[in-house]
Amino acid sequence: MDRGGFVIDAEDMQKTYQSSTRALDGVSLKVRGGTVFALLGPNGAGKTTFVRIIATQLTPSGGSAKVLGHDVMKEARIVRRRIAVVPQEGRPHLLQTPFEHILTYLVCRGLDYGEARKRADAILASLNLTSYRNTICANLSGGLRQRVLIAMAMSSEADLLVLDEPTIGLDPVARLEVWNLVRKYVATGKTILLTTHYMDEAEQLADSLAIINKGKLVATGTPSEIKKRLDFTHSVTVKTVDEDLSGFEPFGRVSRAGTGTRVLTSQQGASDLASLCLKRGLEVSVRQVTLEDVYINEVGQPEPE
Amino acid sequence: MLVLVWFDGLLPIRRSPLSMLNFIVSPLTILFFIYVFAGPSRAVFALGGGLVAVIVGSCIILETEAAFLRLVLKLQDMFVSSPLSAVTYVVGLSAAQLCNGIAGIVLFSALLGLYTNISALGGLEIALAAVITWVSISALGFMISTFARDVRDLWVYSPLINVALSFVSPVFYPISLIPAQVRFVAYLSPTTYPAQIIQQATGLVSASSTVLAFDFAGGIAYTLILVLLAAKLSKWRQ
Repeated sequence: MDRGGFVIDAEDMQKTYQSSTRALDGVSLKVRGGTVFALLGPNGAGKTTFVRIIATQLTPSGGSAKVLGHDVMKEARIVRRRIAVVPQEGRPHLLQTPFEHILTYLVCRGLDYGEARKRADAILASLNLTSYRNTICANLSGGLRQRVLIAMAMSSEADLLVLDEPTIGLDPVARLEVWNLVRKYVATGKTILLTTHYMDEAEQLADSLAIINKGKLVATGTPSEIKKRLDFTHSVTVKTVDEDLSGFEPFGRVSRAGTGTRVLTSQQGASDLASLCLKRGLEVSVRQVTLEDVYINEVGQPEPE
Repeated sequence: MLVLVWFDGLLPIRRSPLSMLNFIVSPLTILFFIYVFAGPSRAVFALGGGLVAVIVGSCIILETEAAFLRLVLKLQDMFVSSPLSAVTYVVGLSAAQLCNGIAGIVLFSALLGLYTNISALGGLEIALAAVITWVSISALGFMISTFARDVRDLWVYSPLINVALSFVSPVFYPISLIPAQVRFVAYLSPTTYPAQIIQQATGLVSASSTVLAFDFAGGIAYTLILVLLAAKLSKWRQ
């Protein structure tokens, strides 16, 4: 696959479950090869449904999707040879070792035993897991267990790696390690589709992304393109909840944000508002808008973790 | 397929060998009570019954193991999205579960060899009966696993199915002990057929070749139905 070619080409994808829940409602998106594409959205937005269809685990109710040029319905077998998946909240078997997991996965994918052994050792080395090669997963930390699953998927050298919430529940250091693995993999020319609801993760890793909410695509583009969707360049957070918000409204879009008030505004507006707040003795912070601001603007406040 | 047997069958046994005892204890307990209360001549029935019960007990576990891999570990998702076929996955897992019963299968086969007169043909018939039991119960187990919303859903089923198929059905006793009017009920159990085959192959009951043929036909038909139902109803790609 050319680096510029579309690895995923989904058109009007729909999925309605037997419970009548409409998980996807006409999602169309394209993912270029050799990139990290992040799918953002709140819980229940349809992210996992989308990736499960792309990963040939779920049949869509309507629309079509091609992965690496092959229809996920009609040519699922061909697609499966070229993709690998790390499921959301997946876990390794606790009584088996990382090496045993990778070896089994590779042999199941069709590699001969000798080649699978070599590749399992190589991936363990490249992911700094060699010292845990023969440690049963029961004795590994949560972060290391997650890396075992990622190692299994990466060992396949699949053209498309699908990571569904790969860093959920990990501590900051473990998250950074997963990010490094993602960057390393994409540097080899492969493509990664990942879902997340961590905005910083998407901002750090994704070449392009899409925000999905209630089964519909609400925004797509590069992180900077997405940020331009807002008419504001700066975000001012004022630490107050008792303050009358109407005083902030002339500066831009005002919303409650945790224990404070967030005002999306222009650079000049941010400067004026900050001065005003300081005069009133209020604690204030100013920064450029981030994906999180766009996300909140598009889908509302994120659900607490 | 063999790598799945190694990964999901042999490795867990190597690291937790006592788990094999789990599948021997109940049949041995039944054997003990039959020996104590009914005497050695009746206890021989419990040897063939024990063989069937060990296979049922180790294979019905596929129900919880497959659900565990799908719902808790989510490893099934990784395999679904790989070139591995559903058939290879299921057969590999079912053979892996059978490994749990190896000690029991060896024990009860040895006891059958010691305490009954088995001809070469009889040995072949017992082997076929064991295969019928393995395939039919594995198909049943995998099919049930796919309907589980949580592994806890299945905790109740394994013991119930095990008791119904291994201990209520005429596995540890001859079918002739069931009143003729309700004997047909016994044939609703897939384990009745292999148990009857083993009892005939070991000379514990004497039956015509027609009866033996009926038991083989019934066992194979039942197995095919369960395999077809599992293939039709099981969820691989949802």
